[in-house]
Parts: sequence; structure tokens; C-alpha cells
Amino acid sequence: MAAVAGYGAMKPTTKLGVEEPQDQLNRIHITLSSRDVKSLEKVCSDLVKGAKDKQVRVKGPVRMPTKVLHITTRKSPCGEGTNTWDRFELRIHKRVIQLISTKEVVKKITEIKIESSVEVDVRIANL
Amino acid sequence: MGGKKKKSFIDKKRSATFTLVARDSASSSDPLSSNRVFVRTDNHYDYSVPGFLDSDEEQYNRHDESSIFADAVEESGARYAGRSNGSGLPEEVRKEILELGLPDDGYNYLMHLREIRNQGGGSAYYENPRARFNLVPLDVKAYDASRVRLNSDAVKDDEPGVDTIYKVASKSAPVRVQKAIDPDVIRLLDDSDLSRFGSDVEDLEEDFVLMANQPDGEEDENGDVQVKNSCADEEAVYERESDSEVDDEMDDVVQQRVRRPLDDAFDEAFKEYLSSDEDNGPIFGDENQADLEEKLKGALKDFNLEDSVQEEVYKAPADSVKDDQESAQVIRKCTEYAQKYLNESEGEEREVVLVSESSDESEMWDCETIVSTYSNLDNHPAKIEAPGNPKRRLPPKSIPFPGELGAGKDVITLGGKEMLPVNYLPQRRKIMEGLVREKLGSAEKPKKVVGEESKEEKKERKVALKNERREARRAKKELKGLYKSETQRAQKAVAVTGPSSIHLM
Repeated sequence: MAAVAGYGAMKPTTKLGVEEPQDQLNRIHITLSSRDVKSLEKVCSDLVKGAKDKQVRVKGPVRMPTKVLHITTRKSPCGEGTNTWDRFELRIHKRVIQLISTKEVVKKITEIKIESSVEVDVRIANL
Repeated sequence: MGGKKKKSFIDKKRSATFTLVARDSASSSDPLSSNRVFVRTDNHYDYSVPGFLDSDEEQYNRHDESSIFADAVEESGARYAGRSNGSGLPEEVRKEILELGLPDDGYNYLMHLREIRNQGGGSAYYENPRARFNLVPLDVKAYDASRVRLNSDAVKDDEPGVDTIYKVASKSAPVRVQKAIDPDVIRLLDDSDLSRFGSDVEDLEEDFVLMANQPDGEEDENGDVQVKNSCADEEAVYERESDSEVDDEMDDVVQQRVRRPLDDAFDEAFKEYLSSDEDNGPIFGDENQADLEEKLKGALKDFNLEDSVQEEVYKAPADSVKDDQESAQVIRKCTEYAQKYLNESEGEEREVVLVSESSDESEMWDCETIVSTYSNLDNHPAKIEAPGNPKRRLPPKSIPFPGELGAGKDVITLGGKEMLPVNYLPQRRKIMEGLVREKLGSAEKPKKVVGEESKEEKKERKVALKNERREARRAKKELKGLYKSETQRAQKAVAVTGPSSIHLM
């Protein structure tokens, strides 16, 4: 906690000439997860691009390891025949984007079109 | 690892977490807002984020006062649902409900209404670049009105081409028009002879009766009609003559017909009938009765064609024919011709074809005859030979194995991919027996003819054979134990590659 507060307190002193933004800065942690890599990457790139356009500090997208859920079943509905097995898998991809900016800006950024296959989790904390 | 955890970017306990979920109902939403809203998913209510959600999301998130659970006892007990007006709904909501025609009973019917939006249910509009919308759909018939001339006062007549419809139409667009004519109409227009509509019977006119009784000028047309309808005409004439006093005009009409001799006779008879007023009734008890009988009998004598009625014996009409009649002659001629024909056929020499019926019991076939009746195209007779000895797949013992040439009997030669001993696998019982026989060194007894063997010798032979077999079985078992690992390896290889029916163990 102290480290967090320290970090927060340090920030205004580093940039002396720059006017401190009036609004409260928030840390925003966006987690995107999906089974579909393409749409996920698209959403990620859109978010990052939007954040960069608005000159917001953005970290990411951090790619978490893909979780693969395996299901291995016999192919045969009965027990007869050579023992062949099906190997099904479900891949879950997770990306994390971290922003530090005000809430209004964040709202603007997240107003992009997100495909329905992508799940979004947002965690906001005050600085 | 050791040491403390890395400082995380966000402290979970002091943060608000939101999740993007699908919008549940369309309670104050407009078409521009998305299908999904951010919903707060954690329970740290003391940390509020006022600016993050937009207005409708906030409304979505807050607990609606007019929901059905509003007056339930809340767990925190902090909030008290105060009602401002009687029905409990805000004014705008009430207005909207009333506008829709729903009853105003304090229930928010708008909760059950859904906005029709583009993203609902996956039935989105997809822009097809290749769609052609300039075709008129089939349920609309378009007619070509480019040649229509207008007549109304709206059109000024000083300009030449002004009465076309293009001048009057507010909007004209080039449209490809399908021909809007029914195929039935086309067929009728093409069909010029109209033969389908004519009737088959064209002999009679519709009013042939009237036309038949018309004056002279039209008699030529009615000539053929008259012949057919003579009966009707006669009836008409008869009626008219009886009413002759009444209808003088009709008399003239009648008399202008061509008179036939029958007409004259009829007229005479009729006059006689009218004129004779005496009573000509029957006279009873008259002497003329006998004469009457004779008269009756004689009246028809002239007309007697045949006497067949008077005869008592039944005769066929052909038999009762007399020679002077025509039919007799015809019959006679027929019989003559028939006899001539018959005589002709008897005189000629004709082949008598005797077809002998063959019955199955009477025939005795033998193989040669049967076989010879088949042709060699289908039947390929072969010489029957005695069956040879089976199991000659392996070459006889005299021919040595190729691997055996260079080696003596003490060396076990390994060959093949698996490097197994060449001659020592259990293959054939006979071969095993042969090997055993070699080992034991039993001399082969000279083969005797079966009939000359004595009982003891036969017994001996059989016992020896049994021993051989016993030894062979033992040797086989021994070998099986020795090379079990090899057979296991072979079975593994076979299980992967070959079919599962091969059992090596």
C-alpha cells in the first residue's frame, strides 16, 4: 500500500513544468479474454491505438499464456473396433491492457465496437 | 523464489470491477447504444466510480424503485423505497405507457417491450454488393405506359410531344419491365380461326322448325331439312287443316308444299271421312259373319311369303328354303364353293409334320448323350483325374534350404529381418516329426503293402508313430518357451502393421 501511495505521490513532482491534469487519474486494468484469437487481437489493437491517439499511458497488450482445455474421448460409440481416440481442445486467450488516465478518456477509448465473442473485464482503482 | 510478491498494478480490494455483459432489457435505451453494458461485479460499494458508466448504464446498474422486488425487505436495510405518487411510476413512464394503449395500473409495462434494433438475434442486414433492385418484383405487374396519350386539360396542346405521360409524371425511372400479359390472353389473340369454339354438329340450324315452315323463297335452303322433319311437318299440317276455318293464312302456307301422292290419298280419305255421316258401326248377328271369316283368311293370302307357319315340323330357315328363291341359290353356291375348296386341299401332296411329344419318364438319357447335346461354347469338359496329394506348398525335404548349404547341422542359422533361426520355428507337424525322426535316428521301415502287414507289425508301426508325435509335441513346447521373447516382439510388430487376426502367441 505504501508503495502504491509513494508511487502516486511521486508522480506530480516529476513533471514540474507540465500542468497537472485537473481530473483524478485512475489506474485501469482491462482484461480481454476470448476463444477467438483474431477478434481478440483486433480489439486489443483498437484499444491500444485509441489510447495512443489520446496520449494516454498504456501498457500492453500483455499476452497471458493460452489455456487449453482438453477433452479426449473414444471415437467409437460402442466398444468395438480399434481403440481410436478423439482429442478436442478449447483454447482461451487472454490479454491484459493497463492504462493510467482519467475516466472520461477511458470511456471514450472503450466506446469502440467490441465483438461479442470477446469478454471484457475492467478494474478501476484510484491513483 | 522467496521475497515478497511483486507490487501489482491495481489493488483488488480498493478497486471497482466492471464486466461487459449483454444488455438484459431495453429499459430506457436508444438505438445508438450498444448491446452490452458495463455492470459492476464486485461488492465494494464503498468505492464508487461515479464517472465511468454512462447514464443508461447507471440506470441499468441501479436498483429500480419500481421493480417488483422494490418493496421486498432489503438485506442492508438502508434504503427505503419512497413513493412519490399513487401509482409509483415516474410521469414520463406513465405517459409512455398510456400512449401505447396499455392500462395505467402502476405496473411498468415498458419492461416487457423491446426495441427493434439491428443487432438483435443475429438477423443483421448484410449489404450484398451484387443485389439488383431495379427489377420489378413478380407480384407487381408493370405496364409500359410510355405511349399513353393524355387528353386532359392539364396538358397544353401547343407543344408537339406534350401529351405523353413523361410530361405529367412527377418521377420517371428506367425500369426493366417484364411483359405483363397473361399467357392465356396471348393464346387467344393468336388463335384466329377459333376452331375450338365451334360445334361439331353443324347440320342443324338452331330453329329448324320455324325455318322449315317458311315461305317459298327460302325453300331451297330448307330442302334437306324437310326430308328429315317430314313427320313434324305432317303433324303441323294436320293441325293446321283442322283449324283451317280459323287460320286462313296457314292454309296458303300449307298448300305451297310439294304435293306427294300420299297427300292426295290422304285428302281423299279425309273428305270421305268427313262427308260420310252414316253410322258404320258393327252389325251383330249378321249372315255376313261367315263371309267375314273367309274374307279375313283370304285377305292375306296374296302376301304369303312362306308357309312355314303352317307346318308342324320344326325346320331351320335354311332348310325350308325353296329352290326358286334367291336365298336358295346363294346357299347352293356357297356349298359348291366350299366343296371345291375342300377337294382342292385334299388333292395336293402335303408334308405331314409329326411332332413327337417327349415325356420325361420314357426317355433314358446317359451322360454321353447329355453332354453331347451341349455345345462346346458353354461346356468345357475336362478329363477327370484322381486328386493329388495336398499340402505341397513347401518344397520336398530333398531340396535343401538356401541357408543350409554352407552350414553344418550344429550351427543354427539366423535369417530374415528379425534374425530368427531359419529352420527352428514350429511350422509343420510333419516336418517336426521328420526332424524328430532324424534325431532319434529311427530307420525308416520299408513301406509294405497294406494288405501284407501282420498285426504285430501294424501295432509296432502305430506305436512308433505315436512316439514320434509325442516327441514332436515336446520339442515344439520347448522351442516355444525358448523363443517367447522373440514371438512377443513379432507380435508387437504385427499389431501395429498387420490386421488384428494374426496371433503369434
